[in-house]
Amino acid sequence: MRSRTLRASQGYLAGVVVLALLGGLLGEAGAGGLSGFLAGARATVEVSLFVVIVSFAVAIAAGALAALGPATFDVILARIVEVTGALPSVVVVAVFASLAKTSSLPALGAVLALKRGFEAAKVARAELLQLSAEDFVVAARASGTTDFRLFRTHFFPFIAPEALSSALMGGAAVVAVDAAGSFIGIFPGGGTWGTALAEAVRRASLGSFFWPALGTALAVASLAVVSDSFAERSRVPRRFLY
Amino acid sequence: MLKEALRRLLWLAPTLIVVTVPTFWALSRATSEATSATPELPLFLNTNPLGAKERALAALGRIAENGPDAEAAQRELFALGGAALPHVLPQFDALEPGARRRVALALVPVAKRMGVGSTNDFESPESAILFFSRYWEEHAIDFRPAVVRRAVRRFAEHPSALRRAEVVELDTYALPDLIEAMRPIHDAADVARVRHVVDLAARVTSKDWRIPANASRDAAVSVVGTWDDYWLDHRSDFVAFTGTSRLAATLRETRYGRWVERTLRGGLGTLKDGRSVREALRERGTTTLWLLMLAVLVGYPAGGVAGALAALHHRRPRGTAMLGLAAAVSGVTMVGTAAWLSLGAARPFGAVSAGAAMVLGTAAFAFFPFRNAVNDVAERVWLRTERAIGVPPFASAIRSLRYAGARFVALAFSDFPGILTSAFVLERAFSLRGIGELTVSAVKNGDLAWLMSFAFLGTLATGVLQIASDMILAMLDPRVIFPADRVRRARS
Repeated sequence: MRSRTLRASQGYLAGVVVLALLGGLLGEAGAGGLSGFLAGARATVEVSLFVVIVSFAVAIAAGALAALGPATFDVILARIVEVTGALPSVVVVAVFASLAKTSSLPALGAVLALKRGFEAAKVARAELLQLSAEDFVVAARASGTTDFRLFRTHFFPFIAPEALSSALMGGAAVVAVDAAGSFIGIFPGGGTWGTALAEAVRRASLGSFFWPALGTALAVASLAVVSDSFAERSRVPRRFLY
Repeated sequence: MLKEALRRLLWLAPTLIVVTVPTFWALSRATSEATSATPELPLFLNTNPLGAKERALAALGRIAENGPDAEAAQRELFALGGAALPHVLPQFDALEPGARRRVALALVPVAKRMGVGSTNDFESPESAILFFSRYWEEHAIDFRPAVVRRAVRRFAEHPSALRRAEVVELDTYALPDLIEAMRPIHDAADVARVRHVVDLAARVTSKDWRIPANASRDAAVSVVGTWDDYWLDHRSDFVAFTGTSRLAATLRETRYGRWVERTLRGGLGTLKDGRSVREALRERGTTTLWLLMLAVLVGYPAGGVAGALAALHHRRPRGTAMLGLAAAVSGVTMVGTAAWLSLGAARPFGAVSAGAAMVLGTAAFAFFPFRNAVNDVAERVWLRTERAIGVPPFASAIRSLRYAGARFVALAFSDFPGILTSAFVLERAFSLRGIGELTVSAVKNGDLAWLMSFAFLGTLATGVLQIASDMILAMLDPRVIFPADRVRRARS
């Protein structure tokens, strides 16, 4: 059952990526119903992929520096998280888009990539602080393992799945925040599923609403399942430690 | 640990400055300059702050020149009132006769407001010049801070007609001390005292913000709040910036400086619709706070317990079913509420339904990280032994919460802005009057006061929650050493 759920999620996400590659061939941005859903897939997927890649890199780098580097980095990370956490993403994106005089979609990608990355870095930091006290790490330090090797062999395998899982959830956050921002009326039209959804809500049209709503719900759920399974699979080596 | 918490709490103040400066810059740039209450002020640094002296001398110069804006300068001199006299009257002799006449005539309304001079003194420009020259010779000594402070204090303590006349004669020069004398307001006696002071301030500024007789304490506080706002915006009209006060004015007389001062006074500013931010928060904050409390106190723990149970049933049908359910709920909650709205369906029990959706959505999103965390812990020997000897999974799940708590605590607090976004969506979907609607409106209309208050309170909450999260982390796992402690231990 579990593998079937996972396969279905992966299949759905793969299908969405294919739709994104086909882009505007199958639909027209801003149109309602299935046509709008197909056209909106491209913009949504592009931003989601960007967020996944950048937030993963930021999470690993910032988390490692904060937990293992000089104390200053820990303070800096804490301040950055306070800055990024001061306002909800939808508000930050709207302000950022207004400041950069761009549409909400690039602003959404940039803001969420950094925000999710630094938030995940806090989690990675907490994990690294705990790992630093584990027996195998103490033993490795005692045996003269260099910091770089220690990080590569003893820390990275443990924090990478979590960071990747968080990054994939960042992809889900793109879909969710876009939908939320469009729904509450803070993002102008950007040709995404979120704007299609908001437009359908505004027109109170079930026909226009069905496809973007289904697409959004399935994308968030699928990313959650894939994120979870990836973290699960990569965590296997740890089991042999106990 | 307590020392660490105190150290970080002390760091919150500089943190707030570090956070609010770029936020203020960004929001000021993003919101419309034209709609700002103080657009003429620089954003962060005022290299040439204009005080009463500069304004009075500028008005004097324009009246003396008798240019096209001489009439506006006369009005400005009238508004500056007594505060302008120590800077204008000593310049009388340096003016050429025509200019001196014009300036003397411009000062006549000020003298009438101060209740000095007679009709004969002002019947011609020459007599007015004579009057003001003599007046300054005799009364220059009255326009000193210590004298004014004593006069205002005497009036505030025992307001008599004579003491009132003393302060009236000082006009706006006494305004800083009058504003100071408006505080504190604790009881009915304070209200009576402040009523007289406010009455005098209203007279010298030609404002109508007075406290009615038999007014309640709240009414008095409200009127004094209006005066505080006025003073913050117009202080520079009545105070001369010299020495250290000039140095301070380079920072205070900026848009950011005024925002900080307003915030420190607890006012947080005024919305574009005229309401104060505090009033709006009081009116709208309760709904949003309830949703947030439900998420943090019910949704997150529920997600945690469900995640722990799913982890203990790892790779078994029950665990997989819980995973599928959480994924489905996380995907559907927000969309489901939107669907409800789009279909135009009735929304029975709006607040209850919104609360339920909030709890479900938060629990579903908290489920995944917690399941992962407990998955790690579940492999440890003591928990495997517990399960082997037949301890119920729920008891094991509860016991494992402590060991998996580090990641959960870090995540729960950093998710706060996300939870707030969910609250905004639910408020919109269920037509609840929370702060979401105000925030959306502030973003659309460029309401800097609301957005900055929001950012300030958000930063404060995030900072405190971060400290709490690290303290809880250290309590849950005593092996945790903070980097600062590590450095300290290494040094010792």
